[in-house]
Amino acid sequence: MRQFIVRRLAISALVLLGVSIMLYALARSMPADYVTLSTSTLQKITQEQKDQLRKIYGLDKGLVGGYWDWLLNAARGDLGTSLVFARPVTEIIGKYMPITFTVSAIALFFELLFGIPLGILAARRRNTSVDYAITAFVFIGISMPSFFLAAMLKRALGYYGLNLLPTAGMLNARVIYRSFTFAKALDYIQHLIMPISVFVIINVGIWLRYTRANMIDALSSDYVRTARAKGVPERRVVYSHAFRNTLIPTVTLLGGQLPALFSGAIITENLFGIQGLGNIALTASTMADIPYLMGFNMFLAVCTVLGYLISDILYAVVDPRIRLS
Amino acid sequence: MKRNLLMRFSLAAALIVIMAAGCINSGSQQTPAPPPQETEAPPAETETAAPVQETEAPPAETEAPVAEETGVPQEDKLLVIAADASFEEKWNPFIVESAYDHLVIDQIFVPILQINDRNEAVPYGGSVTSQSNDDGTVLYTVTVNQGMTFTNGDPVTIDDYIYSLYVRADPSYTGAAGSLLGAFIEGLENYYYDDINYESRLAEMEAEADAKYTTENISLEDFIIYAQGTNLDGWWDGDPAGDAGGVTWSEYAEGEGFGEQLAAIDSADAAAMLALIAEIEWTNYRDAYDTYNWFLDKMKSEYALGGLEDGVDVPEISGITRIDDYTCTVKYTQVDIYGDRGLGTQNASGNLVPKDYYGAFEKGDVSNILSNMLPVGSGPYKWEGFEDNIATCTANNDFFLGQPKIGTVRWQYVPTSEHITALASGMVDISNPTGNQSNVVELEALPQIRVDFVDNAGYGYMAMNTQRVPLLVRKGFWSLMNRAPSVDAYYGPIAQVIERPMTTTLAEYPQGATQYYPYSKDEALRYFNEAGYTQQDGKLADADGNQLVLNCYIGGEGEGDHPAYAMLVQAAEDMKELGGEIQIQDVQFNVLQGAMNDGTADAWIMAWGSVYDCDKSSQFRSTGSQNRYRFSDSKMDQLLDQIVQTIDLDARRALVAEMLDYAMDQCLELPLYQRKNLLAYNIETVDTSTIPVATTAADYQNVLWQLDLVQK
Amino acid sequence: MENISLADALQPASFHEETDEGSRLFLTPWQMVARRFFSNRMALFGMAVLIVIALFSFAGPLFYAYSESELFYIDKETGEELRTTGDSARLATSTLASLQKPSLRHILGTNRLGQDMLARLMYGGRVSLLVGFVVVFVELLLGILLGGLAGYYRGLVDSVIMRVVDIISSIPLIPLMLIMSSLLITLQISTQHKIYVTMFILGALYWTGVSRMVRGSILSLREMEFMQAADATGIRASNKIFHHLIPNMLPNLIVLATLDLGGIILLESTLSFLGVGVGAPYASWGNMVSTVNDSEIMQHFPHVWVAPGICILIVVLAFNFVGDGLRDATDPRMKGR
Repeated sequence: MRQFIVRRLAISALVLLGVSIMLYALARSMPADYVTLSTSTLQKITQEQKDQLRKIYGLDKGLVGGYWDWLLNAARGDLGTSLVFARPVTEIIGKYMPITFTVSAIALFFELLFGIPLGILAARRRNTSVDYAITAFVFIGISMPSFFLAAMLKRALGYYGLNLLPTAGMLNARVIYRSFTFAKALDYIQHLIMPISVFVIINVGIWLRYTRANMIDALSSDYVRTARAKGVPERRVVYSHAFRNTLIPTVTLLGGQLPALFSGAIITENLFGIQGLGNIALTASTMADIPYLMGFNMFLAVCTVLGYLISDILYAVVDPRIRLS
Repeated sequence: MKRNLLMRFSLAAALIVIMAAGCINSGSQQTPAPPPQETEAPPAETETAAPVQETEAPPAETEAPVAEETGVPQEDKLLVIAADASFEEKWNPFIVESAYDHLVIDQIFVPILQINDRNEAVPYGGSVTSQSNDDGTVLYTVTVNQGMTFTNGDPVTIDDYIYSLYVRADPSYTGAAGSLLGAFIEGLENYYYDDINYESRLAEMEAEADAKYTTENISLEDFIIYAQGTNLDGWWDGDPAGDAGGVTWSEYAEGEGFGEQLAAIDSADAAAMLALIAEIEWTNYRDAYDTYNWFLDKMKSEYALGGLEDGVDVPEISGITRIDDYTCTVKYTQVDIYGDRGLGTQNASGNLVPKDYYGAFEKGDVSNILSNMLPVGSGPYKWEGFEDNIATCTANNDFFLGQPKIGTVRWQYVPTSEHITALASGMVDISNPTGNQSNVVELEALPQIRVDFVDNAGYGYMAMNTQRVPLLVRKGFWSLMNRAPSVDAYYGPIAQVIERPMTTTLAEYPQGATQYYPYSKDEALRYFNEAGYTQQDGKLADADGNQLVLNCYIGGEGEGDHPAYAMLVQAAEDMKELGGEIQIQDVQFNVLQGAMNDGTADAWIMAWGSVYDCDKSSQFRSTGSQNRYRFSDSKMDQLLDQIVQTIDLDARRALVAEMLDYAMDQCLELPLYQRKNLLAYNIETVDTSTIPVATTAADYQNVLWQLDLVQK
Repeated sequence: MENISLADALQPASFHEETDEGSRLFLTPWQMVARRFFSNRMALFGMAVLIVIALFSFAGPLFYAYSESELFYIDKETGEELRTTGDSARLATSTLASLQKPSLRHILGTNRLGQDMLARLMYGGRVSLLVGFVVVFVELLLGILLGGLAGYYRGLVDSVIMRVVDIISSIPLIPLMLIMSSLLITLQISTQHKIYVTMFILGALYWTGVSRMVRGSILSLREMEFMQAADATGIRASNKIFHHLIPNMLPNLIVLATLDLGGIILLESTLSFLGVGVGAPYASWGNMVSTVNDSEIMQHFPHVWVAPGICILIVVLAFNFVGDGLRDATDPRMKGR
């Protein structure tokens, strides 16, 4: 086991190195650099000033030199200072990760809460109207662009529709909360219902489909037939025998969701005015903010690689048939 | 069968529910629409109307405690203002850049001068006076008001002002917009480049450039260096087998009579081929390349970057002299009509920043000052914090003009698409929705909203790269532009088509100027024919059979969301009919910037903002820093020089008209539209009698501290 | 009619005298797949939708008078509608026929620029479907080739290819596309070609899933008896790959491809929304539905954004139905509905 993890970690490091090289090369080949973009409307700026700025920002170095500097600093945990936001990249990620993570984690919780039981239900009642209704709803969810869904939700529930929920922002600016009270929590919840619903409606289908397929598989397997033959009550058959076996693939799929928890959904955050990592990344990519783009994208890459690693390990832990060699 | 029916039904039902949710009320929503209100109808007048001057001399009654007048105590009053792009969160007076961060920062700091609604710089936290000397230098005397304090208790003195100048002059200063460099302050360049002999070094460099790099004097070797450094001004694509404008490089070389030399080199070797092409250009077309400025810039850059490596040589800016605790003088080496603004206003160097709070620094390292994100100033509001996309400030009751009436002001980020909803639902009190037809329609349907229309200090235009596109082709291209319907469909009543490239908010705009290139396909074809393009087998091509292809960059969000978009589509269709091609590149802003700067765009559509003077030197002058038209013309240079030296308005107006006509004739900027900005207030919450009439130069922000809420 | 249950499907055909292939005694595996697929109503429904949409998009413009970019004007005085090709002098004094509600002349109305929505819907369908198919083609090509090499040769080849796969799948897609899009324009690729280059880039980023699957299947197939038999006969490697391995993976590949088709159409709309997809002047469903950003259009002119939104919805839905149908049909354990 330890040997397996060590080897996987070594490979992961190699992969991350490759990712960072590719990302840096891409980021540096953007058509206009930050200095060009941020000074383009200034009438008095001189070429020397721009050169001086490039020197301060480290943009005067070539591709290789610039990358090497970045790598050395990154290895020491210093991801540089964002050009647009003028703060250390680690500080920005640290500050906004909780927001993005909380929203995604709550959404994931609801996805599982709806997806798994409905998946089980659809599997048990497969080829009935219940199954069709569930499947149809879920398919509609995964077949829509998220911004289209967001627009419709805003239209239906926002001010111009039923006027139930605020359509943007994270808190009502009219109230000043001195501390974290119940009222503040309620305010957050009101603002986050719509964005979280978008996540849930779009993603619940993945879990439902997965659970449904695995349950159908499990319900027709020999051990379930045996259990039924022995006269085990149907509830127990479904939940103890069949469902427990579908947990294995579900848990591994969960590992793969790790990066998504941190990346946020660029579009959803943007539409609802949530200042999360995804929204910031959008600004950063239009302004060629190389330190932030590198820091953020590498952070996601680390999460992805870790996600794979965790799902492999989880798989091995929950399924004794897998040997790690 | 039954099952399947059910399945289909459920599917259809789901579809309908979702769609219905989306479309619900789509027709009936504006039920509370009042009859068309004429109150905000004549917006064109707003900027010329002379409203009561609330900014310069604060009325005496504000000194009295306001809390008792209204019943609601000041500290319980809360105003919410919308900002329509996410904050960059640069809460620092030296590096603040985005307009939305400025909304907040501008309330925390007091500048020496304030721009009033008639676009004049008037005394505010101090004053700036000037005295011209016979030798052409100008001495500015800057004073700060006595008795002001920062919110941390420190008194405001002239040292705080001088401190701010030094931070902005530092070589390590990164807030490009606020840099002092470019002001004609004596000794500033010596300080920035850290060389007491800056002028003589500069003269040496110029002399060297004169001797070696002018069109007449440049050697072939230097020209090859230039060609390599600039890729022949963007013409060379790095591929020896590539395209040299319809022919291959080899064909080009042969056509220019360099067949022998071509045979002597390996035509697949990029470096050799570039050298050969450089030789051809050096021999035949030397005057088309600006080698002089390129080499001069290169020398300057190499020189500039070396400054502090040998320790500090120039510790002070010689032109800045401290007189007493509240006064200093700043010496300018030449006349600058806008010198006082440069020294005194908010967007330049004018903010008074507490020296002791932001801390001392060594020359060459201001990073600690720039990274301080907890602003402290002497403005009407003081910083509370930023959380959940809301910036909060509370009243500074020691503000030198009096107590603000509203205790707390918050700025909330609201996505552009949600501004109207935010106003309608009472989420925010003041907002600046994007000025376009749809927002006007939406706002007019809301009885509780007052809208001020303010002419934007800028205009939209289509620019041309004059080196890529010959004059006659430019003229033909412009004759294909059907501007009015396109602008009208997008902006409706809040924009008008303009005929000269200048904002109509300026007194110098030639009123009554007529269309220079009326939309006409026939006229366009005539120009193209004159330029040597004729219609051959359905293709509009030159003598060598090269089709006429032009590109135009536009930032339409990828979905044609731009006032000039329909115009371009129409032009592209017409051009197709004529046998040519217009490639519309609908791109993101940064890509447009890139194409415009590196010279790969034939034409691009942009807008100028924050234009408060008629000087177009930075754009049209051959050495202008914004001259992306790559236009170099001595007549234009002369006209531009004359304009800035002409003080009499009528004379200047005539010169400006002449200059603009010439610019039109040369096809630099095709003027598109002058539009208005919207400022919307919720009159149920904000006491409108306290809101000044907004103009292009000034709005409620100047007097935010005097704004009050409606008494409930 | 009722669904053919698993038991029916798996029974030898000879017991099914009433079936179409009644004259034949046995069904090949592919025929069984086809039968199972065609007995799946949802999948058939999806198939029918796709055929209709494809006809609408590819054949529709041949029978429709207006083109995707053509603008319509209205003469201010007479109220008469003018077309792009009209007389310049008249066009200059007219207004654009923007945001017209559906009428006989424009069945789905016009957009803000005064273009016919129905025409744009047809051309947009072409682009959206084409993007889907090209991207899937590229991803299959690359995925099968590289995944096949990795799985077949194993060892070093495998390690190198799979690390590349890891690297590519660790790069976040949307930031990458934002950068790529600006690069494409810098490289002076014309707008028409940009669509295709974008498709190839997407394909080049999407192949990792296919290659993982192909590699996995080959690794497991190699252990099966029929492959060992093939090895024993000493046939050439290419023969083994193309005649034995790939046909065995085909069902899975088809399913994956169908589901990806839907996913890529969605991705195209997302990219359009960010302004880096198939750019105007070319219509795509993605950039048409993106106009929902404009609050006036969203509230008062649903005809501009609802139609492309529904088109995306039903096409992706249809691909999902077909994909699921194919999966059920090819995998007997899934026991099609």
